[in-house]
Amino acid sequence: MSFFLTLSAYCAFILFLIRLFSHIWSWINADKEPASDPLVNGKISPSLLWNALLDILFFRRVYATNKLLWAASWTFHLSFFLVLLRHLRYVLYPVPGFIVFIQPAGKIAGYILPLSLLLILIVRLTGGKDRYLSVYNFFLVGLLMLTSLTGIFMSSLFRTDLVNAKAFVFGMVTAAPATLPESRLFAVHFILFLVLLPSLPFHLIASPVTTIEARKREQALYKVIHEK
Amino acid sequence: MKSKKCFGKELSQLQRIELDACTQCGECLKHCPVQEVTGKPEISPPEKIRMFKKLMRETDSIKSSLFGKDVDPKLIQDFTNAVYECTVCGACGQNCPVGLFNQRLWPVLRKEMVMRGLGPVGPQANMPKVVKETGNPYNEPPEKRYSPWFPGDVQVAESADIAYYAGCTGAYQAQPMVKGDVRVLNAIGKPFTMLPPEEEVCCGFPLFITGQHDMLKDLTDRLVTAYKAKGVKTLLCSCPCCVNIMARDWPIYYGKKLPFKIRHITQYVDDELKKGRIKIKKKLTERIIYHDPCYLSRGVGIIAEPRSILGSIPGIELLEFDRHGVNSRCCGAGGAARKVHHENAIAMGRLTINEAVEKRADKLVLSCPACYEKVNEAMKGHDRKIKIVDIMELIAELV
Ligand code: SF4
Ligand code: SF4
Repeated sequence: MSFFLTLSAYCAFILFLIRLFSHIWSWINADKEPASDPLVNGKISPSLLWNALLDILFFRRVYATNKLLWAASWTFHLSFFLVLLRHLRYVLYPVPGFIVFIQPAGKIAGYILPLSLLLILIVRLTGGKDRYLSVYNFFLVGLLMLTSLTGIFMSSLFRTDLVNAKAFVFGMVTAAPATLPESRLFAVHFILFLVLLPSLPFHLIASPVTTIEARKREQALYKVIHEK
Repeated sequence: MKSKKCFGKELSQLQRIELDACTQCGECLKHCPVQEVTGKPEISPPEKIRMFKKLMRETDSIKSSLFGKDVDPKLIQDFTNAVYECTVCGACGQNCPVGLFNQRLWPVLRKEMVMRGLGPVGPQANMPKVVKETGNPYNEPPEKRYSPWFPGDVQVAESADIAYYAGCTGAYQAQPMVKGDVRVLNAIGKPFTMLPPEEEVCCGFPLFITGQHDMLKDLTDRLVTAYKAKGVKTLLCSCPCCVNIMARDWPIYYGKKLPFKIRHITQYVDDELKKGRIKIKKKLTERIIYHDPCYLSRGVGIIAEPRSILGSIPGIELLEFDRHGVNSRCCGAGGAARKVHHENAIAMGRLTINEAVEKRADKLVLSCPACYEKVNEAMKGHDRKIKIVDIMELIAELV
């Protein structure tokens, strides 16, 4: 089992990298927008960048369209980020002070995460006539929900030997495979993570770019035929 | 179906990133007029994006290089239907939480289909041939472009700093609108010129929006050269779609900055009203509601000027649609979809009429020839009635 999971982890990571590079390659290889199109070639000023940064960090565009979805998705992304940071203690040695510092916040975020996912699901499924939920999003929400629940169970109800867990994960990262801890829950949690890794959506890196572009476009709109 | 060509080649860098940025949140469905009248999520923005990404994966990925570019014909059919049923109004992008520029993305996806012989659909496919033969997409004789509607008392100069482009939809399908334009220009009193009917060819927008880009450079060159020869410094037009392609795409096809400025007619008239060159003399004690055309508000940011003109009419009460300005709802005429999905266009036109009636407006004011034609058509056989008028048609009556 240890060997199988170790091999799967490397495969999942390679798959993730292939997906990542093929997307970035496809972006790099495409033509740039024509320089003379005023709407897509607006200037980036410090105030535009600042506003775009706030848009990205606080999901202000989501807030403008759907307050409940904003509450759910912002909470989800923040808690997911904190949980990821918390998990860095398993792959870093020595563990940086910052990661030690955020451990309590990461633990609380671990509980909030499935609740925010549930809220996302409720918002999506109760959308009335305009309800829309793609198979991929349904799959992702389900996967994240299961991953987070198994994580919660491990840290509360069925405690797993964290020293062994760290040895296993750290061994994998340092190419010195170690034995899998004796916990089925850990194995399930880890397998779910391995499925999640190559399935991560690329809006995580693409949407900040489009959010900045939307700001540029909004600023340029009133200059298309209003210039003196 | 085996496809040798990879999908996605027409997309710009930003558009490729946009496809990846779509979170499939579905928020745009609430703002989509086609969804409102059809209730078909399978033709919604996230579905179009999902299907196109699949087409790209099936023809342009490591997997496709190893195992062949097998494309599911049903996927192609579904995507084609979805992308051509859209009115390309851009409301989805305007309200997209990650800021996609869908008003520009959909025409490029249509171009992708045209490049492979999979689009356009229905009568749209005839357009290049018809434009080539007649200079307009309506297959109307060029010599009838300004007749019989052109007002006899309006003076058109041989050459002038200012030129007016009537546009095919206005000239052939919404004459009261262009008649209003030239009468207001005449009342301002500054000389303006126009191209002879056979020289005033299509601006290219109907071809652009249906993804048929082959003739665009030629049409742009012909029109720009003709206006340049007349010494034109400012080109005025009332059609939002024409203004859009002129301001945004003509410089690209022409290869450099245009030798004249592009202005929407409301900008010019608003300026002249403020300068006192033209005065609104008559009072109008009515409640009027103004509809923002998608390509005027979302397209080039003309929102304040029509309101400023209407606001200067003594006695008027100006109402607003729930969705107005950059958030306006398509009247149904957009994206050349009206030529294929006529019933959708009529249903959308009726939504606009209904809201205007519910707000107890006396007049519905439009400023786009396609809206004018379609909303008038939508009123036929509809149980709710309202007087429809173009903004310049109205002003021409009051100056
Ligand atoms: S609103 Fe934007 S991100 Fe959401 S589904 Fe529509 S296009 Fe995609
Ligand atoms: S452009 Fe308009 S009609 Fe087309 S999908 Fe977007 S909102 Fe709907």
